[in-house]
Amino acid sequence: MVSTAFAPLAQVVCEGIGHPCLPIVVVPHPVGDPDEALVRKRGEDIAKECVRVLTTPAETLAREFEGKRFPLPDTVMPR
Amino acid sequence: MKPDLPHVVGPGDALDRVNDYFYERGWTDGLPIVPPTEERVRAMLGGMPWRKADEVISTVPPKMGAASMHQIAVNTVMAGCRPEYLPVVVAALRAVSEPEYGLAHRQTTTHPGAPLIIVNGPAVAQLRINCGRGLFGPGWRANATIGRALRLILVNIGGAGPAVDASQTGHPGKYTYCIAEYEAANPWEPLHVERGFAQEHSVVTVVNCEAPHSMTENIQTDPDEIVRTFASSMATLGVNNLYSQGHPVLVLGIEHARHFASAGWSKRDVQRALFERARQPWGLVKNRGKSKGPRFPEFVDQSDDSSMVPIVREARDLIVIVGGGAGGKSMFLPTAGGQSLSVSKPIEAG
Repeated sequence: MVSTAFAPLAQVVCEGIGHPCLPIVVVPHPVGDPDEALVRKRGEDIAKECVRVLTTPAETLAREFEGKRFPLPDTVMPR
Repeated sequence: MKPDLPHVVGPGDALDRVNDYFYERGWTDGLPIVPPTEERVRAMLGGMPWRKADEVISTVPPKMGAASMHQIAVNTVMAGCRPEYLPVVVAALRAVSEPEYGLAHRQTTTHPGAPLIIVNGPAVAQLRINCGRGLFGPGWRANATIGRALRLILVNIGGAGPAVDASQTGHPGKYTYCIAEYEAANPWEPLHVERGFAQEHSVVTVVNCEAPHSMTENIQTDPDEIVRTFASSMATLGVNNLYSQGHPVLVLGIEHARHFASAGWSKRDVQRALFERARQPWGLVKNRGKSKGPRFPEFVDQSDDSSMVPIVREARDLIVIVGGGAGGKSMFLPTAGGQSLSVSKPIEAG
């Protein structure tokens, strides 16, 4: 589970450790915010996706995540 | 008579095409590269004939790419190195691959650090690595290309290109960051001897450093006063070493080094004095920076606001080398802190 600013890094790490299809749950960056309700909402959103990837058969996830790309948001690296 | 300036050469279609191709694939640092032709790579490998081309020197994170001598040579050619620089590049790669350096997190951290390569021993003169005026600056092929070769290896074999390297701002040392110690101007033992190597051995020390910060002291010559100036520059709120220490670097200017030595100070005295005086009180440090981090020194009494926080855990952790030209400046190079330490490796000579 990573924020959008670190998703490409997470993918390279997954490839590096020999698990290129490892499911990555991506959340908007930054995760932190002074508004506690907003942070709580983000947590709830993530939890649903975490449950999904933890309860979906690995073969299905491998097909879903194979070749999937998470480009850096323009706010992190304007192009 | 031709003017003594770079001049126009013939149409460089092949060179341009190779550079465009490599750049588009993210294989460069943004600057043009020397195309790694078979002939050039073979000649580069000739710089270490005792190593086989398929020999793997290390595995480079985060991609865990295999750094074979062939791959190292390809990147070293691209950087513009001469074959005789190859042993220095390999020693630097071996150094950053040691666990104490923590390459996996240095490649991917938000901290703006780059591997500073410090060369000691006969290789400095043999390879003409600048240790004097402008040692961090341009104009010297060995400094410029050895550091660049390591960067290209980290990017191309390790996969730490711009989308993966999370350094929030980076710093210019990520293009190249290679210096030598000015041993002839050092009144004490050079860094590699301090670390247990023989004077006649050539050694690389690698430290992940931020950009150098100049500390001017043109007026005071008394060591205590120079230390006072340095301590104020080094123990600044926000510098990582105040929160998790590590091995920060002091590049002592040759004139400052002379002032210390003339007054009878040893290098150890300089290290001890800065360990004692480059500090901030806990009351000022707490609730700032990384003071809640896991590596904050346990020996600081957090029940006492006047307890002083040092930038190193012990005096010898401050790396002191001598370098640069004439003038009243020394340089301080902060590091990420205790999670990334310096490593020294001998330069192979066959």
